[in-house]
Order: sequence, then structure tokens, then C-alpha cells
Amino acid sequence: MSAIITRRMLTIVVTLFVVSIVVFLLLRLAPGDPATLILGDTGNSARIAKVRAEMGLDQPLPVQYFLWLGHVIRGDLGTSFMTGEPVAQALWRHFLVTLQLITPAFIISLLFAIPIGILAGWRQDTKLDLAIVGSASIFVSMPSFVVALLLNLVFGIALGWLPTMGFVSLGDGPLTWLQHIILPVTALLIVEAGILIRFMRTNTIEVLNQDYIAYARSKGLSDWELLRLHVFKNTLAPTLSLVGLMLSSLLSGTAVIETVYSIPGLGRFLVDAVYARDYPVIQGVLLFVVVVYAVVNLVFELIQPLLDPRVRLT
Amino acid sequence: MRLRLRIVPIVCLAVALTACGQPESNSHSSNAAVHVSKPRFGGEIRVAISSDIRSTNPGVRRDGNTDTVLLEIGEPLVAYRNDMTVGPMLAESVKHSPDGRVYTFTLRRHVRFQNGALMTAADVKWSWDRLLDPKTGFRCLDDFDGTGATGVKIESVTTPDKWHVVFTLNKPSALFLDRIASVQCQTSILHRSSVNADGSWNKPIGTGPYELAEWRKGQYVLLKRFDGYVPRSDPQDGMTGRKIAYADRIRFVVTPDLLAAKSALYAGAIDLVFAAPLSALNEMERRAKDPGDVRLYRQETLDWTVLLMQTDDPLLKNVNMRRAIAHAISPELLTDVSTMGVATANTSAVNHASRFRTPDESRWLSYAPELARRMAKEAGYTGQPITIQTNRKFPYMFDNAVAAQAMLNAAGFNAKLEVFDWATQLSKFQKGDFQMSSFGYAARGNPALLFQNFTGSKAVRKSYQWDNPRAIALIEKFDMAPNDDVLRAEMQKLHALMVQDVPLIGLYNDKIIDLTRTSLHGYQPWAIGRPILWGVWKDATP
Repeated sequence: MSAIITRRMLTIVVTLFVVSIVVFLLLRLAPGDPATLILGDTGNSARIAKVRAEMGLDQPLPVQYFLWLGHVIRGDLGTSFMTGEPVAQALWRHFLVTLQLITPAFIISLLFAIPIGILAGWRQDTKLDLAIVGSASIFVSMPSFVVALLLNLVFGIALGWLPTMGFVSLGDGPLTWLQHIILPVTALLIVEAGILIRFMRTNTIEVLNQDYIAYARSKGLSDWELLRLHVFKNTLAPTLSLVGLMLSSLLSGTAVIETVYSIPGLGRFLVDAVYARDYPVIQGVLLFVVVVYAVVNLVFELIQPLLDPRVRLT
Repeated sequence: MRLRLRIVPIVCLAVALTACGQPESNSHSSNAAVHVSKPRFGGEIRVAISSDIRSTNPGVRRDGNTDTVLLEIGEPLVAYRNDMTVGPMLAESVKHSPDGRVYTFTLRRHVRFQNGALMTAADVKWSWDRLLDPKTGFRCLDDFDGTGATGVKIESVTTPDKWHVVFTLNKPSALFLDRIASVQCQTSILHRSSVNADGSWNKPIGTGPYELAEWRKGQYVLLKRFDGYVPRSDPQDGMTGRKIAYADRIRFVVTPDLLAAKSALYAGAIDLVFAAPLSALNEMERRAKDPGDVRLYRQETLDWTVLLMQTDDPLLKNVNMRRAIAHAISPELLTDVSTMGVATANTSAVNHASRFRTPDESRWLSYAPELARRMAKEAGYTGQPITIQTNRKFPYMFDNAVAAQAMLNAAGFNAKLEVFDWATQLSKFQKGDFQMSSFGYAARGNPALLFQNFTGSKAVRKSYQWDNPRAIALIEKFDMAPNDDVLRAEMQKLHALMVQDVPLIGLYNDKIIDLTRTSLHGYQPWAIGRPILWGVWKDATP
């Protein structure tokens, strides 16, 4: 097992190195200059050159890259061009916000979608199945920002029950935190739950058509025992890989929701940095997301053989 | 990204024009009963800002939102009034020597910093020495250190006594006070404890009516009333005059999506959205009538929207070609369509409300598509593509470009759009890498500063739009002008020359809509476009 983990870790390091080069080059090749953005319509050539020099952008590209890489290896992701704040510090702050958003969204999605998906598969081609699949299809097809705006209109403006924007950290008041995350978490989980429900339903139907299910039925197992002992376990294993991907995509894909609800999370941080051509921030955030993505998937990969003996790690 | 948009026929522009309203006065509210409430102290005013501030260091690490927040905290020696004349702020009075090189500021007494210290001439000198130190990173440094286009340099800042500060310049500068008053430059006088012992930035300790209480990054900036504030005795006027901080606190809430900010205002979570999205104008007007819990303010700003023409371009270096294009575009029609009738066309760098405006500034090339077609043909135009660069970040720039493209194509030109993100378009603007560009110049209190921003040699700065020796010679006279009359006459000459040379087509001064809850009173938008929050109070929460 340790050899496998070591091998996977080495793969992650190589991936990070490749990603760092690609991101670095793409950013430098993309049009747009952070110095001109800072100076706006007032910048003259000398002033722009001075600001570029302050940012280290006057150095040749390989020098810029290896300087940055050297700092990253020492744990220093650099300093934001726009705010002058250390990237690692800002990144961690924004990540904690996103974490407080995606964790409840992720957990609630699992708690609702897995049983509902199994239920739909179990009751395939019934009215209940039709209703669940229909709802899930609507959830999946609705863009998250539309869901967010609709929730805002109904629960924020028309009914006035919940705040339509802003964020309060869990540590600053659990109740206020809850009030502020209900709408964004709902907007996030609706789409994710839709995907998971459909996936679970398909897996359940597939499992139910297996010979060993027919055999179990013939042995006289009750519906509940059949679901608990055979269906749930065998549908969960393939779902794990999807769940891993879902968690990773939640981490990097919350920008729209964070923008609509004015939540200072990682996604909005990245989008703002892209518009501002804040190279150190973009590079730092993308590296971080890749690390999280790789680690999460590694963890799920390691868990999978425990649930499904047919899966072997190589 | 390149888009070809040929979907806006000129007929639609004409139809839309008939539906547009009449131009309105410079600033007014949609609700007549604006100031009926009796002023009261207390409460918190919540203002939406579209992005977080970049720092708390005025004039250094800045952008528009940073300026908006920090102008509540710090104050300069002089500041703009509502009519864009410069008036004393921390100074009691200003005198300059007959040769225009020496400015002597007499300071107000009893002004205190937010840490309780008395402001004296030594603080002014410390603040300016800091700004003029290249290590500080003051963004307007070249306006004052001789490296800018005008070559004006502060040679010394001296303090003959506790209440007088003398600035000596290397040459006369009639625009020196305007540069000090610039909202973008933010030459606030700060207490030396604003920086740490090692010279690094700590936090602003200014003299303004509000002080910094908390900056929760990415979420909000909270200011609290400075109880030791000593207001001026003259009436509130723009950035100067009597400033009364009615609210206990001001909270600037970071709200990247302005439509979400508008919704939050409807829900009562926000009190003011400045520069609210124009796309929601009709809806906001309906809301102002029923249920009537919001109020709209319309304000013509000094931000000037234009269509730039690259005079180095092989096709557009021919002045007759540029004139033909100008004849093909109606600034009035374009303005009405792009701004839904809320703005008035302005083809001059001198805005309508400026004291420098004369009837001459209204002269421009007539809208004559057939003449444009003929002139272009005579100039050798054979249907080559003319690209207009624009972006989607600023909707007005995109709308202007689409309308201009439609008008040009209707007059027989082959106009195309190139749509970039703002960073790319701005970078191309700085390099002069465009044929035509839908652009906007940020507000300058004095039109002379606006002329100086786009006139000059392209060999010095590629982003100079107007590289004409006669224009440059006129610009250089600005700082020598002994009074406003002379400056006005120079601007008249410049505009007349611009009509001949057509380096750009002026369209309109941007008109913004500020949206407030009706529980907010005393609010007055002004031409610089940044909200002023002293003199503003809020009804008690029921």
C-alpha cells in the first residue's frame, strides 16, 4: 500500500510541475498586462515599465518561472500584484470560506441524493421514479446562477426570510452563518444532487439486474435486507469516483454562486485574479486546486477497494 | 475573441430614438420628497461596492473603489467643489506668487487626526515628503516630480511656521491645485503613525469625518464616525465645506454583481448602490413608484466616453478618412440608443457643466452618411475592414461600439467588432494597437487635465491619442495660463483643432444612476461619480 501511495504522490508532483509550467506560460502568453490595469488610462510608458519592474515582469520568462518555482518549493506562493498581500495567506482565507460553503452542500447532497437515487432505481418505471428522474433532470439542466437568482427572488426579496448576499463565518456566529449559507448551499446542492440522483438510479438498476440479486430474492431476503446488504454496497463503490470528482468540482466551481451571493470564497478570488491578471494569485490558486483535486481523488481511490473487492490498486 | 456583429440596422436606432426620453437636468432624484426627513444621528449606512478595496493606502495601491472608501477617511489641502472649482479643505487659504511657482497654504487650526493629534504644518510636510519618495509608490508621482508630460516638479516643501506650508515648483503651474485635489491621486494629509517604524504601511490615520474600524477582506470595509472631527464652517460643497457625519458607521459591502446588489437593496440589506446597472433602469423606476421604497438619482459624470481612432493606422492616418467616419456617426443618436435616453451627447473634452464650456464646444462634424460615403471614396477607401475594439466588462463601451458599427456599415463602411476582456483592450490601448476603440476616460475635475491625458507625442507614449504638434503646443500653455479666461480660450482653440483633425469622436459624459432606499436622506450624487456619505442620514429602524 505504501508503495502505491508513494507512486501516486510522485505522479502528483509531476502533475503539479507540468501544470505549473502550462499555467505560467498560458498566463504570460495571454494578452493583457497587470501593470496597465493598475495604472488605467493614466499610465505612460515609463510608469508602466516601473510598475512592471516592481512586479518582476521585466525579467526573462525562464528567470521569472524559476524564481517563482523556487519560492513555491519553500512554501512562498508570492505576493498579489493588486493588493500586496501574501498569496498563501489570502488563499487560505478564501479557501476556509469556500470550505464552509461546499462542506454542507456536499454532505446534504450525499444524504439526499444517494437514498433518493436508490429509491428511484428500486421503483423503476413507476410514477415515483418518473417524478424523481424528472425533478433531477430539471435540477441538472438549470444553471446554478438561475437557481441562485430564483431563490433570491423568492426567499430573499418576496418573503424576506433570508439574506440575499454576504457571508458570516461560522466562528462569528453559527446562527448567522446558517442564515447566510442556506440559499447559496441550496443553489449549489440542487445541481450536484441532480447529477448524483441520476447516477445512483442507473447504478441501482444495473445492480438489480445482476444474477446475485435474483439469487438473493429467491433465498427470501426482504426488500430492506436486499437493499441494505447488496444494492447499497454495490452501487456505492462506483459512485465513489463520481463523489470525488464532485467534491473537487465544487471546490473550483463555486465562482458563480460566490459572485451572486457576494461570498469571498476561492472561486471568486480566482475569477477576480484572472480579470486583474494577478499572476501570482492565479498560479497559486490553480496549484492549490490541483493539489486538493489530486489528494481527494487519491483518498477515494484508496477507499474504493475497501468497499468493492473487485477493484484492485496497481 | 473576434465577433462580427451586423445585427443592429440603423433603422432600429431611429426607432429606438423616437422612444427615448428627453434629456434631463444634470442631477435629480426620481422622487420629489427627498429631504423631508429631519436629520438624525446614528445607524449604519450600507453601501455596495463592486470589488474589494486594494489597500488602505490612499493614492498608492488604489482603484476606483479604494478611492471611494478612503476619501471618507482622509482629506487633502484643497478639494473639488460641486462646480469643479478647487476650494480649500485642510487649508484655510492658498496664495500663489505672481510667477505661479510658489504656493503658500495657510492651514486651519484645531484640525485633529483620528488618533487625537493636532494637525500642523509638520504633518503636511511629512505627508508630502512621503508621497514624493519613490519608495512609497505614489501613483501620481510623475505629476509632481518633473517626470510627467508637463515637467512640473515640486522642488521643496517648507514649513515657515506651525500653520503655513510653502510648495516651490520648478516652473509655473496653473493646474497645481487641480492635481492636488484629484480624487484619483488622493493626496490626503495623514498622521505619521499611519506607517510602521520600518516605513511599511499600517493604516490610514486621517482627518476625515470617518475612520477605519475594520477591513474584512473580500467582505466589507467598516468605517466609524470620528467623534473628534472638526468640520469647516462653510456649507458642504463637493469634497469640501462642512462635513457632518450623521451615521455611526458606514459599511462598504463587497458585491461583485450589481444586479445582486440591487436585489439586496430591495430586500433592505443595502442602502445605496451607486452606478446601478442601467439595464435594470425600467424595473428600478417601477419600484420607485410602487411600492416606492427606493429612490433613483441621475447624475451626469465627468467620465467621457469616446471612439478612438488610431492616427498611425495606414487607413486612418488620412485625416479625410477620419472625417468621413465622423460624418457617418451621429453622437446624438448613438448616445440616445446606448444610454436609453438618459445621457446627452458631448463631443468635447469640456463637459456641459464645466465653467470652461462655451458654445464653441458644441460644434462638431454633421451627421451626413451620404457625405461620409463620398468622402471615404475620395480618400481611397475601397471597403477595407475597420475594426472597433471593445469589451463586455463595461456595457456602455460595448453598446457604443455596436451602435457605431451599425452607423458605419449603414454609411458603406466595412466595420467589424473585436470584443476582448478589459485587460486585453486596455493593454492594446496602452500600446496603441488598435484601429478604432470604444473607450472611456476617467473623470478629471478640470478639462485641461483630460486634454493632457490624451494629447502628446506617440513617440513618448503610445497611448497618446492626439499627436498633433499644434495641439501639443496648446496643451503646453495650460500650466502657464494666468487665469480661467485664458485657459478657456486655449480649450476653445483645441476643440476647434480637434474638429479638423478628428483623432477621436467624443460621445457623451457617462450618466449614472444611483439607487438608494427611501430611508436614506441627504444623499446627493456629484459629477466625479463617487458617493459622498457625510451629510447623509438614515431613518431609525422601526
